[in-house]
Amino acid sequence: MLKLLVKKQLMEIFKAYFYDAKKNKGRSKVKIIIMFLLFIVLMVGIMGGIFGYVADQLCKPLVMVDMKWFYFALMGLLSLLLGVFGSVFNTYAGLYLSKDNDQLLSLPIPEKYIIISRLIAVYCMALLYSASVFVPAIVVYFMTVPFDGLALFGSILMMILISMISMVMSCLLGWLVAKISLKVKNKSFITVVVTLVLIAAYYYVYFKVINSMQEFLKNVAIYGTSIKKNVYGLYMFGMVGSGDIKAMLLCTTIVALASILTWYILKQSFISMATTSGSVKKVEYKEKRTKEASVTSALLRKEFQKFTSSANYMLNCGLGIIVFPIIIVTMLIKGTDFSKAIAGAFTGKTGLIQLIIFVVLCLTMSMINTGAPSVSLEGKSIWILQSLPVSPWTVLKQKMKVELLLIAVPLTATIPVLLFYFQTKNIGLLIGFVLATYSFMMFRVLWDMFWGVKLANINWTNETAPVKQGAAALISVFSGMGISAAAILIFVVVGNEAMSVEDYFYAIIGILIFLNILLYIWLRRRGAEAFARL
Amino acid sequence: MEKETNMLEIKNLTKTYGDKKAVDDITINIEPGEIYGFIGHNGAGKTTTLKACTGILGFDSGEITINGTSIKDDPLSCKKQFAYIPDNPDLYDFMTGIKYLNFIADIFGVSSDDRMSRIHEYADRFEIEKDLGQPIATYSHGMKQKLAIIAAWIHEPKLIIMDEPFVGLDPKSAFIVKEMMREVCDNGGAIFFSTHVLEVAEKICDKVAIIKQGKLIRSGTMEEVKGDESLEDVFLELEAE
Repeated sequence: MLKLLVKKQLMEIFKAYFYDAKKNKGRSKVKIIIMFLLFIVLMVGIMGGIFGYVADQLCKPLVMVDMKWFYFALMGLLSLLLGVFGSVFNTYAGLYLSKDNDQLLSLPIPEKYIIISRLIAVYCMALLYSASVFVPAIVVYFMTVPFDGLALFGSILMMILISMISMVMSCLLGWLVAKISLKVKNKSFITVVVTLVLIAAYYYVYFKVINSMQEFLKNVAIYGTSIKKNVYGLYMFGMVGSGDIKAMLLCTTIVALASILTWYILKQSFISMATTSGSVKKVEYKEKRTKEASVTSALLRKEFQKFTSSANYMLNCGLGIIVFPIIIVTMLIKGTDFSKAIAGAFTGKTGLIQLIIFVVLCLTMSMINTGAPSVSLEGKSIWILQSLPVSPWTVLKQKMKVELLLIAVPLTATIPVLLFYFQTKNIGLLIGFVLATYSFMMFRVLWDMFWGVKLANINWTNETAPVKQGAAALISVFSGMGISAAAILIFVVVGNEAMSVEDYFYAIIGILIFLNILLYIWLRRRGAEAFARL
Repeated sequence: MEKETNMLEIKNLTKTYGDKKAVDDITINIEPGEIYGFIGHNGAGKTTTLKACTGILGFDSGEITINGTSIKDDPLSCKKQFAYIPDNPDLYDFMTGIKYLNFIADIFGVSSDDRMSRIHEYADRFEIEKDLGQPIATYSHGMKQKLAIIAAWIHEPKLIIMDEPFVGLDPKSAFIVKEMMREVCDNGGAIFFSTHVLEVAEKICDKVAIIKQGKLIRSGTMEEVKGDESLEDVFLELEAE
């Protein structure tokens, strides 16, 4: 029975790989293999490439000074950062808000199986994200040091422990959010705020740890033999990866205890939380005149209502909206220090700073991807748009407009602030930077909608499937990070010697405009047709 | 004298799913003023036919015209003329009832005054006016069905296509829907609906069609189809053949 439930959960995540919604039938074996290969290329090629590069830069110097534990601790923390990011925002909805709660609870299925199957889905997401950092770290490690069976076992165990920690943290946060949301009326926004506050607290602690590690690295000679005393927890954490038996036993025991505690908490409250809608204020309708709206306004408003009604949707697909103001505020407070520090670090080539800012903005834009799940989110109510006198293209345009507005408004406010602190007298470079940024914005919007239509899955039982776990959402998130990072890596590896940053910007603009035209044409023709036939 | 255009004309409609013919060469004409019932057992092809009429589902061959306009050639102008209510109205749970009605009214360009008076009239008849401020997520199946019906009626369509419209409705609401259906037809509109409730079909339909395994096995006026027998007897006899 548990196997069946787990299969159902996983099928929901990977449905688009097996089922062609457009043709209403299963994909052929060849297509399934191609889909998975594409996903592996994305994960291994892009994510593996990026984190492999990071690992490669760290591994040799640390191994040479016999600080393997430090290498594993650093990569482990990076992996944990991504693992928590990958699972935390959807755990509340994933655990408690499934549409099939009533149906499953009415069947003779032990309650624990339902919880376990959902925990496995949360774990899979945590593992997917954390492995994208830690697998390259392991590969790089064994390319640097001679093979050691115990170290291999330890590093694999460490990856499992990291994904377990990510799951435990996500579940506890999900449980806390569920507890609070039962008592409040404006659930979506309160859930978003509570989650963000808790996440901010988590990352505050996380970066404190990173800072203390940097401090340690600077003063490694002073710390000398007292390493264990000063950063004992981290030391043991890192030692798991290098195959230390004592560390493996200790960390496994701690993670196991934390998992048992989480299990106990979830099991105690699962039914009451999954079946209670909480406090709902009864609003009696008073007749009043409503202003008429155009078709496009009505559709756009509907899309925004959908976005703001779901904490899950806002957190997973709109996180970048709050990152932009954070950049602005940070710059206004520490902009001068930042600009001096960065200018000092990148003196080699004119425009390198603008390129880095461009990549930061691209990464932030990639954290807004409302378009990717928007088609799947129509779910069973898709008949409404399909039977109304609106063209599919009009519908898709309004979905894209939501993402465009969510990116364009904060982006346009952020660019002048950044340009004020990172000034350049090179007008060509400046125009290149601005045009490349807006071209990428258009690319993101079209790219997300492309995958949203191409891999649409309207038959889901939990909103988390389209919003976070679905193929379209995953490709959107990972490709956003990958393409952003590739923009700087390509320049560093290939372009640095061959061209100026200014020319590089114009090359990027050319490529993006070309891709944007292709995506636009596809969406307008085949995308609209595919939407109509879902 | 010029022949009046059919409100809905389904000509030799065929729709296949893989190797299976879900609808096989069906022809139905619905004229203004008619309530047309569509009867058949589960999986006979009723919903497929209705969805094809609304443009939601494509079809392999045949033609469907609404007031003379082909749904394939000009789906938007067809869709402006009809309203569709599916068998299980999954509405936008994130909206309140009134927001949903206003959304539909905006799409059809219904003026403020008209929508206000129609919402008031129909919500009052179904006794859900006070609930319109509540999120649809909190509605029961029956309330969602009532809301879907009000949304369908809000732009005064000439043709209403309904899939099992009485499922989930209480007897009083079902009676109101029947009244509303008759009013549409009295005003020159037409209704095409599927049902399993043969007594209802017998009572309110002007014409009826019986579909079995995708094929139309009998159609015409109620008298032509059932003669002196009850519709239930005729249906069961045909099903047994």
